[in-house]
Amino acid sequence: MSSILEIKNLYLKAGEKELCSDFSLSLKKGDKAVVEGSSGTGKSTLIHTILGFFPDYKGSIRFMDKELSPETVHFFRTGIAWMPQQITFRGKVLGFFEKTFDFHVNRHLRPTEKEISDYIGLFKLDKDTPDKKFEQISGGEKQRVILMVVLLLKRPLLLLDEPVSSLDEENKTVVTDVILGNPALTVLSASHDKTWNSRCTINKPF
Amino acid sequence: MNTTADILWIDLLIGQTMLIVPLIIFWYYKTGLILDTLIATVRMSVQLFLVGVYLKYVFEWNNPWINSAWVMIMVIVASLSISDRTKLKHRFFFIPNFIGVFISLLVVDAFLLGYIIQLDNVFDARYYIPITGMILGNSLQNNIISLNTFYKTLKDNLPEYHFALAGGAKKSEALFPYMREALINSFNPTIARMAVIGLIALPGTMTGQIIGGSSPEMAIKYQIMLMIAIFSSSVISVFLSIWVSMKIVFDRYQNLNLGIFREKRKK
Repeated sequence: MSSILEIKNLYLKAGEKELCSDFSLSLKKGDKAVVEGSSGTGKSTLIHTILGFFPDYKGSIRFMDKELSPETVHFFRTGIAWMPQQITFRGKVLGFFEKTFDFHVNRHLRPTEKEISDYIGLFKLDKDTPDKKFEQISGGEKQRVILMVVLLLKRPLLLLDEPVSSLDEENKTVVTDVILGNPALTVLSASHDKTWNSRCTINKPF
Repeated sequence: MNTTADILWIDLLIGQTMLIVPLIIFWYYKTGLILDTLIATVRMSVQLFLVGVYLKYVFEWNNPWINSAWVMIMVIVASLSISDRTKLKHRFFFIPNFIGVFISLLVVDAFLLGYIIQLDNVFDARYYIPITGMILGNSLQNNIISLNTFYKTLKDNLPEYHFALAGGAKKSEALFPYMREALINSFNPTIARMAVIGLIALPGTMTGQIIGGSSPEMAIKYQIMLMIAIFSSSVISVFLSIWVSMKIVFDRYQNLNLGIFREKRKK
């Protein structure tokens, strides 16, 4: 079977600083990959690049056999579910949920109340989390809320930027089990967390 | 018509001494606004003086081409002054502003002068120039606030914008919240002002017409029509300017070109 994501000879720089040269990576369905490295090495930039937010790169990035380009970037952005490291949202948690599913391409995936409450239970969040202001919940709660959106989008590839960095040990285990323990999910993550990284099947230094 | 009491030139000069009071207050509180006030006053007087001289001829000639050229100059100056007073570069925003202002004027002028007032000649200087000027002058502030709000909110919330794009939003969907905020920020005060017109403010056109000898009844009809024309034209030009700028300041991956912002400078 062909790759979900294929990166070849990627060269990235931020300003004058070279972030990577000749970086290659191939992900097949079910793979759980992590790019490892301390903060500031440009792992987030790598993820931004795959989503077309940083067009200033050299090399090849293919998702489901399509090369990243202005014509295919929407295909990338509708096939990849991204968990950013930081996100602002001015409104309630429920509004944050609904926003992504209001977009035309996601309307048919709008989660039912039951799906949402199932995930809230699974991720051990407070039942009233949807009614809280997004900016008032903790970093760890935000991470799990974003992960819920990412999973509910049911997309063939997950790009997770530091998915467990703000979680305590108990929640870290839960999240790691839910994501890395699911053979159906294909994951590329950026992380420097030992628990998470030790459970990934492909470990690439960055 | 000529019942209006004229102001003598010498009295106009004496009238300007009224400025001494605000200047003393500005001086006492060390506002640093004195020089700016003086420059602005002189500019205003000289500009109006020149316009007065110019309009005298424009009204005599009353040539549609000259009238339209005059309006075109106003539109260009307006477009420049919009991007001048936002923190955005002319290079990117002159054309969107020009298109927004020009098209909104075209639509509203055609409807107001051609259909409502039913002029035989819509380019009649006596109507065309002052009405266009009023619409233009009053929509500037809305354009400035909305452009600033749109691009500043977007820049401050780039992760949110990226998250929307990565979620599969089309560009128009991802930019929806910023357009919404720009419209709200820009038109909330306008709506509030419109709601109290006549109660705490006698608007300019009406005042002018009454001083000029028109009946209050005719004056209010013009005032109502103008308020609505100004409001509609402002919304149209704000929407169009932002919409056109959206085609220019994003790359083919829908990323915002951060080079559109000017370096901070003194107000």
